[in-house]
Amino acid sequence: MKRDEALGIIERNEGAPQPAEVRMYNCKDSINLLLQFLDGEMSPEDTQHLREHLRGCSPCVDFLRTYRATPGLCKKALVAKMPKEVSEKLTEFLRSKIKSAS
Amino acid sequence: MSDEAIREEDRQLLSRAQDGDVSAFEALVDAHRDKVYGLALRMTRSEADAAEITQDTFLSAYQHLKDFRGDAAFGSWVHRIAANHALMRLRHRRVAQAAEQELQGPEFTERGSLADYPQTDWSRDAEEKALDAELGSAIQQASDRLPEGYREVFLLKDVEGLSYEQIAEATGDSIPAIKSRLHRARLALREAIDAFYNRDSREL
Repeated sequence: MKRDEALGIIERNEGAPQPAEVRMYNCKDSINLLLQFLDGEMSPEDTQHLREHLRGCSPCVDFLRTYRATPGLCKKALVAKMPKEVSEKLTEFLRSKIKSAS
Repeated sequence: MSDEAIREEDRQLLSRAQDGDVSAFEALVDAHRDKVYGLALRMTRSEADAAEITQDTFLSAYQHLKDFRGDAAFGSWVHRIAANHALMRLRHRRVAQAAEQELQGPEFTERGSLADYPQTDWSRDAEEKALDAELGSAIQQASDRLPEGYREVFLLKDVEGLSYEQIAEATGDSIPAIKSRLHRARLALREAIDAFYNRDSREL
């Protein structure tokens, strides 16, 4: 089992047993809840269920790591710089507008 | 220069620009034009639209300079103006959104398990390595393939860093709807990146 401090799954919680009628989360449930989990918007009970699932599910931990890395990677890939001629046109445009407004 | 030093420089330029110093306003434009242009280009995927949106954004900023109290950073304020201009433009040309199921996510077994799902943990590479040009292109294409409403939310939140509230204000959508689209967009993009990292093993 891989461990991940940021995911809060380093230590096994041997606390109170879960009621028998509580359905354990499966991978699909966990993945549906990743955004809420990362935004810190889950109830303590749901967070506990999710962590229980993650503790025993290595594929979900890998999935969560890569899901969490996706925005940063996309941000790097989608950076754009304004072309010089567009920049010059922008300056010219703003100067003419400012001049006509004053 | 640190973020705080940049904000302080912006504050000083803003104060001079609000007093009518045009060169101070031009310095603010120089400092923020790439980010505004980048946002507009990512959202519209059109260089011509991006150039026009950038012009409109800074013109709006100039026209409302006196109203800006400086509660937020100048960059954030201009960013929001740009997002609004880009969204207005998209609304004019928006085509019917593709169905949600067209976004590809992971495949589960019948019991909702990822057990048979081939995985590579590339998260550490994403943090430590410079972005590979080929991967950058794969991400660009995957972003372009997202249905408009999903791309819009993903770009505003994950690339431009707007809050859910700011996106809701800019798009007119509810926060739960925004979160749902963001999640599905992230899943689809994660899937595209995963396919890139696993292309050799999947081609075999």
